[in-house]
Amino acid sequence: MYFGTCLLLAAPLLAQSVPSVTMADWPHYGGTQHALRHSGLSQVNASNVKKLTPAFAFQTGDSDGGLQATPIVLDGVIYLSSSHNHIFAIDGATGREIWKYTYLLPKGFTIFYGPWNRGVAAGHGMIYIGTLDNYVVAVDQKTGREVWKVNIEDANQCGCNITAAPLVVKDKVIVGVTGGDSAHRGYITALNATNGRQAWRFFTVPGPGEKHHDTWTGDSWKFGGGAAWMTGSYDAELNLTYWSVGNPAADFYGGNRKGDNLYTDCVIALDADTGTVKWYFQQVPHDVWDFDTAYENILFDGTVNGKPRKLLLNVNKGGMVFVNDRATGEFIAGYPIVKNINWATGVDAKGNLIGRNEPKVGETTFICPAIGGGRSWNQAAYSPVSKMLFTTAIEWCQDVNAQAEEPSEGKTYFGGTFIPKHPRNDTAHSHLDALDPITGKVAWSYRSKYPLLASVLSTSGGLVFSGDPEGNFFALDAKTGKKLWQFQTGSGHRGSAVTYSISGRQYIATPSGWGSAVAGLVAQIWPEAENFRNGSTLWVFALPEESK
Amino acid sequence: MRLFLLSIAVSALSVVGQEPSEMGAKVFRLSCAQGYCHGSGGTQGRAPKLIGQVYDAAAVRKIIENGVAGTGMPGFKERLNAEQLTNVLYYVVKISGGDTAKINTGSSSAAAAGKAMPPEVAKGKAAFFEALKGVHRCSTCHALEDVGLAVGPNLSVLREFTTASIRLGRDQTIRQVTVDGEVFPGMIAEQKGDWVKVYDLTVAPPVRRTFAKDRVNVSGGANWKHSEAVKAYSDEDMQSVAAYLGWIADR
Repeated sequence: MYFGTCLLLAAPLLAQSVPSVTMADWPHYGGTQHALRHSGLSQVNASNVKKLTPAFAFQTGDSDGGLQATPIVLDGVIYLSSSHNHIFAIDGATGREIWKYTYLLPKGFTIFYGPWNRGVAAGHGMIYIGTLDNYVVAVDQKTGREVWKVNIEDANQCGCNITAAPLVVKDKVIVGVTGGDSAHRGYITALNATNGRQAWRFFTVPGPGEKHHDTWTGDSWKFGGGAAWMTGSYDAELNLTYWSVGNPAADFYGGNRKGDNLYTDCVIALDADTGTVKWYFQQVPHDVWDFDTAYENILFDGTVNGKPRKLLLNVNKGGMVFVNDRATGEFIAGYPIVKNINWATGVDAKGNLIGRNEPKVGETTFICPAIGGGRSWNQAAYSPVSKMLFTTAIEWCQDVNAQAEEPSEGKTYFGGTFIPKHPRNDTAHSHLDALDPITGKVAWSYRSKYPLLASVLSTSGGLVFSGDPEGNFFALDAKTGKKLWQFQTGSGHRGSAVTYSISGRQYIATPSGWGSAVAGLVAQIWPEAENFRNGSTLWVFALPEESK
Repeated sequence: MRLFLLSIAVSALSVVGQEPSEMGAKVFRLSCAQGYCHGSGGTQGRAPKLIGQVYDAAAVRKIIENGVAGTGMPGFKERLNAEQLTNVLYYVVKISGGDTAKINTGSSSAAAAGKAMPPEVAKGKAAFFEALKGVHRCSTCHALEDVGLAVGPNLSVLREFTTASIRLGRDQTIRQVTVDGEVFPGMIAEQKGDWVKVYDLTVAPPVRRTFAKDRVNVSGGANWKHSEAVKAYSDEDMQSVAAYLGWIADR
């Protein structure tokens, strides 16, 4: 509440200042373009969250692959994407469907990975979505009618597509592609938001004559992976858009691609107008674990050695957090979020990985965490009120068998197999932690039997929301981690809860719907998870009218 | 008949001391257990668990060869040879608990063989789809053999290409489109009721834009040249592409 008021007062005085937290709307995938996933709303708070009750539930009708999206909310209207790229506009107070955009995939099309979609972007009176057959589509925000549609690259050739929400930056809509496990060379593409025309394309693997091309041997760069498969962030003051680049291909076998393999496993800062690199920081040089630096980039302002700094925090698939200065890329801090980690022993003072434990070709290597990640792509939250990071983490391991492999364009290029395992001296489990973002010191830890695969939502009501694979949507006390409330939604959680307000009433919305690539891996350690039911429902909660 | 086929199967597919399912296990490891798919030994990944499903051999063969439309399961008839296909079929049916005795060795489709491509044609095909040319490759606007985007003319029904004729294209079919004062080179993709879909060719790749019909004015003489669209291709590339297009038309 305090923070919300402060923002409202400050906004007119500081025209340059862009709020990092959301208020009535949830305008971007990560809340704001700073991706904090923190809302300044506080009507629902630690003292009254027990009274939270369903306002409505919205069924998309397509539970194949579950419901992985982050809903966007603008002026009381929710924009939600389901599996197979359908989009719904929903009245945020009543659950009434305003329009539906039905996407038609070509007949007989083979879907890579799975049918899910992780969200839409809004801007310029349009709603944007990336598709399973690798198009970007813009539809009219008021009617759902298609405005433009452009192919990024033929999916049948590249073995790539778009599942992440696009990012709207000024007059452009920016997307990456999947394909890091295929023989494909990744890129990030900016399109003119009004008419879909390509504005720039940045290749995540430099070609001949480009800087850092020499970090690849032979022709390996042609099929080097480097998929930017999740959504970027944007700092308007620096005019930089931050993207995370995934693993090099083949995932487990690096014999064809000796060298650091830039810009795979990097956080990169691109000039939003031109797509040129301002800085990059590589977390995992020559990755042979599939430990992508692919997840969200949280832009927050913190204090380091007594000095205020503009910072960027990224959790990677290997279960490590890296913090950089977001103006210069300077390494600030690095620490693990999982206890069971053996692929590296840590980072040195400059952020270089130390103690690498690489899978050996022709042998079985026990690696922690498992390929599903020390954390999956579901996003963390950062509260500028408590200055804490809230992130999920998974304690699990795997036997890796790396194998030599030759690439064939657009086809799977993985270089090995894996079998998920319990850690040696622990039972596989998961936790949601409150951490100091710079030191990694854990303030509290909430334990879960099954992997927590839903994003975290933090609010100025002193609450932290997330959901578990058994279908429970829950609220924790942000100060203590104590569970204050939960609700059984009927299917496991793999999407991202958001909060918004309409006419003074705060709503909390969460997708519910099990079924994803990682869900299959979960069943290998917890066989009962095979029977976890799919679903695809947006549940929306609020305090009863009389008690708000 | 079945017994006869089976005896051929065993003699043709067994390397000394190795059962077809053992050789199939290797194919499975490289092609099916990969990444997030069926998991090591068919235990389950993002794709279904195969162990204990009791699959019918004929049905599994169809799936392995052709894939399952609308899912992540691709067809393997172009990726694996006949022997590999049959071996992996043995393996999958075996781990599923199905009856391997019902497996016959013949492919259910004739596509597995395929006609060999002359080197010049293969070179042209590679150039046509060359990813390194980015959005300036032919397949950005033309589809052949189920790859690429069918925006421009279907080239498989056209004949007698030369380097010069490819460069020239058919510029006269590109129209000048005016929408609320905005002018761009375009092609009409579809007209339905009060709406018209137009390919905007201002820059590659083409953008399909939808407008209310009464906002759009289409006239001749657009400022667009196919020779510009294909300028990433050398004359040598172009000769190979012409050979590929000729080969496609002759098929």
